[in-house]
Amino acid sequence: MPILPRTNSTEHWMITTVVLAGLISGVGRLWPMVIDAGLLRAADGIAIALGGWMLVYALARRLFAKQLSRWCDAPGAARDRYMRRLGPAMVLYMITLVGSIVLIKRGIEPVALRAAVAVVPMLPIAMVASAMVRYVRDVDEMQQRIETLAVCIAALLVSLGYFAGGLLVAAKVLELDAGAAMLWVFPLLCVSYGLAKFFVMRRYQ
Amino acid sequence: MKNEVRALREGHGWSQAELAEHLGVSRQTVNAIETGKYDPSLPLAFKLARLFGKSIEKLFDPGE
Repeated sequence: MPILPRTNSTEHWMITTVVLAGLISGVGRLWPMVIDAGLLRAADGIAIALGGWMLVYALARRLFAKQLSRWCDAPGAARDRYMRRLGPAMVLYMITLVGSIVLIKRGIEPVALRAAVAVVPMLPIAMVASAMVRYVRDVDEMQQRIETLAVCIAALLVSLGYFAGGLLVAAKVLELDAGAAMLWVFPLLCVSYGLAKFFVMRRYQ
Repeated sequence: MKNEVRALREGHGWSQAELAEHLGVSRQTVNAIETGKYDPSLPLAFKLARLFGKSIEKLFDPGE
């Protein structure tokens, strides 16, 4: 059976984040005066979401080791470099996101400062985007084709979905919070890309 | 496109991973070339031809 890469740096960062979030959550439960209620909710969310995702991933690794090893069959150096950059960026994203939400909920009067605090989580996401571009540049020609096709399909799916959503909102069939809808663009793009990549890769197996 | 890559690789006693390392590509790419699911670019085809000491025409058969 093909051997999957051992626990990588991204997983180390994720485990550390879940443990930290769990600690904050535990301290908040024991001594509610020490931890801000917003921070406590954020820590709960991170611990549950990230912990749950890691559990599903660990299960998938065990059940679908062969398929996953094919799916992750990028040259070692490219994958390792990507993982080294992805882990810290994702942890930084969670920290900046939680910090930004807590500070904005407490209230920031100057609009410019509020805007700056609100967009701070974009910085680590820009780091992730840069790591993705570097990864695609580093992989071989067939994998570049797979990545490009997967990104194209994902972009089309998300654009079509949002276009349909926009038409339905304009026709007053749906009521959507525009701000929340915009926040979901990047996560939806990532999920669509993952699914598209899975199907595109099947063509070459 | 049909090709002789698998036969030549096995003739050299290499695994797909070993050939991939020689070419600087992933094992999956070698597998896709061998099964005819992916046609390599000219630079990669030349690399393969040089590695096995054959001409590109001997290595790949575009069919009619």
